[in-house]
Amino acid sequence: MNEKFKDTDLREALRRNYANVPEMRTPLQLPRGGEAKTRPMRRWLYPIPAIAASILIAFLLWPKGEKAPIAQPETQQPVVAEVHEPHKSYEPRESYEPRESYEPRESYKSRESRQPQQPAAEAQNTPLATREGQGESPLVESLPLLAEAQNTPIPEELGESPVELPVLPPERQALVDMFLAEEALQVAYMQQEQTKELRAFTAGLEGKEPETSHLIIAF
Amino acid sequence: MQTEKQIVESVRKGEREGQDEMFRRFVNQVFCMIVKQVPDVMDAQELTQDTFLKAFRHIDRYDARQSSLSTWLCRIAYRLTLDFLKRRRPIVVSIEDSSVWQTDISDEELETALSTGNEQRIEKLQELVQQLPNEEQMLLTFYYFDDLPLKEIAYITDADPKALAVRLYRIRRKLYKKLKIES
Repeated sequence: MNEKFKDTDLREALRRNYANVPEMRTPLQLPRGGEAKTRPMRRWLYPIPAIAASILIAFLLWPKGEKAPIAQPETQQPVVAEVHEPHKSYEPRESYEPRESYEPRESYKSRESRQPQQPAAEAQNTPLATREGQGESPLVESLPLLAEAQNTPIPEELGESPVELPVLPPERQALVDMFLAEEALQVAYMQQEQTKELRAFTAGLEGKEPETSHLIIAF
Repeated sequence: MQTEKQIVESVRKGEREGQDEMFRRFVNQVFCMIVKQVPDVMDAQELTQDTFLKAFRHIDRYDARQSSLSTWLCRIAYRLTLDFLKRRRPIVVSIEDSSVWQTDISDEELETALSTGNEQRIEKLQELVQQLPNEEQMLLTFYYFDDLPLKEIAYITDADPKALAVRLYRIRRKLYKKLKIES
C-alpha cells in the first residue's frame, strides 16, 4: 500500500488542471479579532456587562415621580407648562437662596459689636496692631467700614432676586439621573476593589489567610 | 526562527506573535490547497482565513504526535472546503458509479491503462477529473498532485487508510471505465 501508483496520465491531467490556479490577489492578513476570539474574556471585563445591566435595571425601576402629562394633540393643548417644571428632588431655587445656617451677616455683626469694646491696649497686643503701638493698623481701621458695608442693604436687583437655574426637561433629567447612578456604581465598585486589596494586604502583613470579603455590590 | 512547538505554545497562550508566525508560515500552503477546489480567489482567501481562525480557536486539540502542524491545518482546510462546496454545489452521484465498480480490474491493469502518455487520454482525463465529486477530486489531488502518503491523507480526510485505498481504487477504476466508454 506504501508503493504509489504511477498513473502518469492522471498525474499529468491533474497538473494541467492546476497549472492555472489563481494566486492570491493581495497578501492575506491575519484577520483582526482572531486573537479576541481565541482568548477568553479578561477578568476585569466581567463587571462591565454587570454594571450595564444594573444601570438598565436601575433606570427601569427609577421612581418616576410626577409623570408628564400624556401629550395631547396640539389643537387641544398646545404646550403644557407643567412638563418643564423642575424635578422635585432637586429644588434648585431653594438651594440657591441664602440659608440661615450660614448667617454671614450675623457673624460679622457680632464681630463688629465686639471690636469697639476692646480696649486700645488689648488691640495693640493683637498681631494686627502696629509695632510702635501708635494708632491702629490699616486692617483694624478697615473693620468698622467693613461692618458698615455689611449692614447696608443689598440692592434688590443684586441680592434679592433668586438665581434662575436652567430647568431641565424630564427626559434630560432622566439622563442626568442615569449618569449619576452609573457614576455612583462605578465609585462603589472601585471602593469594593480597594477594600478587598487592603484586606488582602493587611492579612499578608499579619501572615494570615485573607478573609473572604463580603460583597458590597452583588452583581 | 521559531520551531513548530514554540509556535504552537505561543498560540496556546493566545499571543499575537505566535498567531502571526503560524499564519505567515503556512498561509500559502493552505491557500494553494483550497484554491484548487474553490476557483474563486475571494472565497479561497476567506476559507484560508477561516482555517486559521479555527486553528487558533482549537489549538488545544492539536497533537504533535499525530501529525505535523501543516497537516493539521490541511485537515481543517479540507473540512471547511468540503462544507463550502457542499453548500455551493450539491454532490451528484452518477448512476454509472454503481455499475462501474462491479467490474473487477486489477491495480496493475489500471496503472497500465492510466499511464499511456496519450495526449487525447490526458485531455479527456482532465475533463473527467473535473466532473468527479469534490471529495474524490481532493483525494486525487492529495495523492497525485501533492504526493502525500496515504496515511497523511487518511488523517486529513479523517478516514481509515485501508478504506481510503479502496476508495482510491474505485475512483481510478471509474475513470478507466469512463475513458473506455468515451473511446
